[in-house]
Amino acid sequence: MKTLTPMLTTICALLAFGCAPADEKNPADDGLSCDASLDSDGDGIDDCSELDLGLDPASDDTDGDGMADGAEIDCGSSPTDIDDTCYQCGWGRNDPGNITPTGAALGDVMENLSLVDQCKETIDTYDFAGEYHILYMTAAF
Amino acid sequence: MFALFAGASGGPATADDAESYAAYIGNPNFPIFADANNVIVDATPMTQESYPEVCVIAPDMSLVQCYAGHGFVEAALDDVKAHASQ
Repeated sequence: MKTLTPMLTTICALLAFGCAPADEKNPADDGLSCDASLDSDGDGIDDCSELDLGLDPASDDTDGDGMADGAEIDCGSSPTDIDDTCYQCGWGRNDPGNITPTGAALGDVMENLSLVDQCKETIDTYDFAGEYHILYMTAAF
Repeated sequence: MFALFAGASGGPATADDAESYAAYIGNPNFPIFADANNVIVDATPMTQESYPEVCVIAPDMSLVQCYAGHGFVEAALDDVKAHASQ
């Protein structure tokens, strides 16, 4: 019996895993039904994906911050955080949150700057991480 | 991305200057920043002793190369290519 117990445990675990994969989440299992072909609120996210993401499929602006859920996901903003919105000029929020500034010389990681853009909004420069940029400094006159 | 260290009046650049400059160059789909407090100079090798100045910034926000004066945009693009191929 001592030798059978681990084997039975393994078989049971394998059976359990095969019957109910942990990564196959179905909103219907939570008592909620959905249709992946529908986007009831017209925010660009289908109803099932809304449920998976914890969004309201009947509201195009789940957090009530004035921006549609789909637009917030596209720009990297949280559609469930009223204080997190897309930039007015449409820049993505691409700060990975793990950038550590090292200095101001060539080769250094520059610090995160807060600058006002042409939409008169304060922008964090780390939100432009993930792509190359050429910073061109000049005067308006 | 553009940054204005001085506005149309010659004083520190304002948000209005950024808006006007964006309209002047055709409302581009890249940011025009107003650097009213000269924070870019402290955060990069730029000096503001001459302008324009150009810096290439890598995806990890590291400073790849900087230039002062006209005619360095092509060189900056070459720096991007070289850095990306490393």
